[in-house]
Amino acid sequence: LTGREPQGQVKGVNLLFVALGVVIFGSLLGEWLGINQLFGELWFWLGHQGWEYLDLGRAWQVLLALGLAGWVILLFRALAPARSDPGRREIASLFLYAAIAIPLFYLPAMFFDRTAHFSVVDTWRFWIIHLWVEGFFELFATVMVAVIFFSLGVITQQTAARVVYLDAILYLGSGIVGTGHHWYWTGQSTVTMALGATFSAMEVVPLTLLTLDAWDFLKLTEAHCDTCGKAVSIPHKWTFYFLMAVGFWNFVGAGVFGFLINLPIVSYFEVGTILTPNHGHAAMMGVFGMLAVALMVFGLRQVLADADWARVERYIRVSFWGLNLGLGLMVVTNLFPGGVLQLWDVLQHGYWHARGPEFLGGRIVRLVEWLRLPGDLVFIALGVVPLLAAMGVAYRSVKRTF
Amino acid sequence: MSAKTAKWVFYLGTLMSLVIFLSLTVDTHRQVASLTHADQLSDQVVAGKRVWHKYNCNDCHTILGFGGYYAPDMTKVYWRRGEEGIKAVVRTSEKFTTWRKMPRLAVSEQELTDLVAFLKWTSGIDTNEWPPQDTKLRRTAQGAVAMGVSPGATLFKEKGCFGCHRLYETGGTLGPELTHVGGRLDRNTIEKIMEDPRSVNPKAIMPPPPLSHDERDQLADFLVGLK
Repeated sequence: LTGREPQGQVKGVNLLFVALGVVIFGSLLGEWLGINQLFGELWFWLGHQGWEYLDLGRAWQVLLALGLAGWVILLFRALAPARSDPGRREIASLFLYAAIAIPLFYLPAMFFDRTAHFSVVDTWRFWIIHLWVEGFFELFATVMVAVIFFSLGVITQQTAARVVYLDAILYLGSGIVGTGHHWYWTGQSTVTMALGATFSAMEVVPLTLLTLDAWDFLKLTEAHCDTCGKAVSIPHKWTFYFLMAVGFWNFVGAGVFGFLINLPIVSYFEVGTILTPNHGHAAMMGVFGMLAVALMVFGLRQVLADADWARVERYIRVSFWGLNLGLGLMVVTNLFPGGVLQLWDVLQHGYWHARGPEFLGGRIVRLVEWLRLPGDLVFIALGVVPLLAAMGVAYRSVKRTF
Repeated sequence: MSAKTAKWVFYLGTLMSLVIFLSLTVDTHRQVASLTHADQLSDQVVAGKRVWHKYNCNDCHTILGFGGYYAPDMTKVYWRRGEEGIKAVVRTSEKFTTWRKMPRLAVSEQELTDLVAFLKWTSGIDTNEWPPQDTKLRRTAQGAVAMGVSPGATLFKEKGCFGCHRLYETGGTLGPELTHVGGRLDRNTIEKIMEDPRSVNPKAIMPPPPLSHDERDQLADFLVGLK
C-alpha cells in the first residue's frame, strides 16, 4: 500500500517468524509432554489444557497473543505513510482495524482458568472458534483481498471500501450472534438457542449474495489495469485463480455445508457426525488455506523476474489443480457420504449407536473411510509437493539474483 | 448502496450485533449455574474432571458433543451404563470394543470412582434433551422406578447390565439378549452366572458384577421372571 518499507521492518518480520516457530513447536511439544504427565502442576501453563481447539498451554497462548500484537505493530509501522495520504487513508485504516481485531478477540481464549466450569469454558471457546476464526478472520481476509485489488489498480478506493463494508455487514451481522449455533446442547440458556438459530438462519442472505459476489469476482479477474492498460490477470494469474478458489470454497464449504448443519433441527441429530468436519475441512482449507497460498503466490510473483517466474509457475499450476481436486475428492468421496450415512444412523438408532463400533465397523462405512485415501494422495502428491518445489525453485532464483 | 451508507450500516449493524451477543454471554453466565446444577460440583466431581483430562478421554470421545469422533459421546453415559457399567468398560476396555480398540489406561480405582462422579454430574447438565434418544433411557429407568417395578429391575439398570445386554429394544449387543432369559435358564444357573460367569461358561467375558448377597437375590428374582 505504501510502496516502501520502514527501516528495520525486515528484522521485525524475521523475528516474528522465528517467534511463530517457537510457539508452534513449543506448544506441540508441550502438548505431547503434557499428555504424558510430565509437567505435574504446570500442566495448565505448559502442557495440554484439555480443550478441543484450545489445546495449547496458557503460557503458549500468552506468547501467541504477544506475537499477534507484535504483528499489528509491524503492520502499523508499514501502513503509517498510507494513513496520512487521503487517497489511501480509508483502505489503509480499514486494513489496520481488521488487523487489530485479531489479537483483541483472541483474548477471550484466556477468560477461564484451570478450574472453570465446563459450560462456561465452552462459552469462551466459541468466542474463539466461531467469532475469532469465522468472524474476524473472514473480515481480515476480505480486507486483504480488497487491498490486493486496490494495490493492483483494479478497483478504486471507493469501490474497495464499499466491498469491505458490505462484506463485513454480511459476515458480522449474522456471524456474531450466529455464534450461538455452537451452544445449543452445552447447557446454555434457551434464549441463546433462539437467537443463535435466528441469526444463523439469516446466513442464507450472505450466502446468496456471496454467489453474486463470486460472479463479480470472476469478472474482476478479467479486468484491465486502469493505469497500465494491461490485463491484470496476466502477471498475477495464479494469485487470482487461488482467490477464485477462496470464493468457490467459501460458497461450498462455509456457505452450503455450513448452513446445512447450523439450524437446531438438523444440529440436534447432526452434532458430532462426520458432516461437521465436512463443513470444517472444506471451509478451513478452502477459504483460509487457499487465501494463504494466494498471498504466498502473490509474494513469489512480486520478487521474481519474468524468466524465473516462468519456471516457478509450472509447479504452481500443478499445485492449484492438485490442492483443489484433492480437497474436492475428500469432500465428495469421503466426508459428505460418510456424514450422510452417519446422520441416517442417528435418525434410525440414536447418537450412541452412530458413534459406536456397531456403526463404524459396518462394511460400507469402512469402505467410505478408505476412500479418503485417493483424495488425500492427490492433495499431497499433486498439491503440497509441487508447492514446496515452487518455493524451493523460487528461493534459489532469489538467492542468485541478490 | 454508496460507500458512505454501507459504512453506517456496517458500524450500526455490528454494534447492535455485539450488544445482543454480549447480553447473551451475560445471560448465559447468570443461568449456567442452575442449568448445570453447579451446586453439585463436589471436590470429587472436580477430581473426576481432572481424570478425564489426565487420560485424554476427549481425544476419542466427545462430551457435550465436542472432542474426538472415534467413540461414543459421554455426556449421558451415566444414564446408559450406570456406575458399574462405566467402571467395567474402563477396567477391561478390550472386552467391550471390537476392531476399534479402546486402550487399557491403567486408571486407578480411586480415579475411576472420581471419573464416575464427574460423568454423573455431566449427565445432569440441561442439554435441551440432547443427545437424541438418550433421554428415552432415563425416562425408562425413572418410569420403571415410579411404576413400582421390582428392585431387581432397578438394579439391572443401575449396575450397568444394559451396557451389554438387551431387554426388548434397549441395551447393548455384546452379551446375550435377556428378554426371555427366565425361559432359558433356571434360577440356580442365573445366580451362578452372577457369582462367577466362568463357572457356567468357561469362555465368558462378562466381569463378575459387584453385587451384595441381597442384591444378587433381587436381580435373580427379576431375571427369572422374564419369560
